Amino acid sequence: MTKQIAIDEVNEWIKTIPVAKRTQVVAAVGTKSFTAEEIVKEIEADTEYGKNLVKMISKVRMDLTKKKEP
Amino acid sequence: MSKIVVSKLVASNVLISTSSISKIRKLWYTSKNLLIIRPKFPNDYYTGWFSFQAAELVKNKAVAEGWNITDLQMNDANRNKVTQTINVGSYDFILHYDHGGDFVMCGQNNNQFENAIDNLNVDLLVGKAASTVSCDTATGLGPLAVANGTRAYLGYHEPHWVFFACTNQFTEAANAANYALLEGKTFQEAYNIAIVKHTEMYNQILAGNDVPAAAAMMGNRDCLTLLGDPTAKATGKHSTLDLLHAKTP
Repeated sequence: MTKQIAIDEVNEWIKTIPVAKRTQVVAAVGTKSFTAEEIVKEIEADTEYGKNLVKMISKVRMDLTKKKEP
Repeated sequence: MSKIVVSKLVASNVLISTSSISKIRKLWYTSKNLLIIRPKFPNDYYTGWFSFQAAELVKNKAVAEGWNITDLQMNDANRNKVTQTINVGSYDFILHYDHGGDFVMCGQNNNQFENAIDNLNVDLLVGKAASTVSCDTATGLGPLAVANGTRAYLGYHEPHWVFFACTNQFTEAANAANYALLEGKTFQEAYNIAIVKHTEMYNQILAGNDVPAAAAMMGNRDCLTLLGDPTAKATGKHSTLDLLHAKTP
């Protein structure tokens, strides 16, 4: 569930990136670097970094929910 | 005649020592000797687009704050040179910007990765303050360093992410603690400042609807780790007695 939410979140984000830039490196962690599309693949494949991203995006979701509470 | 003079001199020294020793003990001086270790590998985005330049900004800050700086860049950040430099110098603060692992601060030799500091030479950090912007070292190397006598250690206990659309924000967040340490703040103060800065940058990025980058910023914040003495400073603090005992080369 959280994985799918993270994928949806990243896909929404990718839509904001011009098509020509979607194959360019947008992020790095350690010696690995990723294009926007590769980030989705990392999450889908449950790699170490993919799992790390899911955890981090879930935290943002929780934070946003908390901020919306009256 | 000469024997009498010598005896008087010795007696005089003894008198000075016994009467003033407690006062001298209370006299302290600080030192600001900084070693920066910052590789930059060809075709490596983390060091090429982020960490090397972030370290440059920290160096500028160190200059402004009056630190004596040794800056081991790129292939000079190899294990031999790091070891020699630390052993020959008297550094108070070791700053590392590069890749890392559980028990490794990476270095660079002939454009290849090389462990600059790891579990086998962690004694290089004894008596010093250390801070690293890199992945994972607060999991293993940091605790080991502190157990071996490193005064305090700042690092991350999980992977450290950078999103390049927000390089400035990631740089500001990563550098915040180190700026504070260079200003003479304690490790606890520097850590607190860094947490606030990460949160500020997280909110700024989130306001721009870049959720993955915001998530990474929050992730970095949550794995920043302070180890060792929270009241320690990056500056060295020495008794004036050290000066009296200091051996000249």
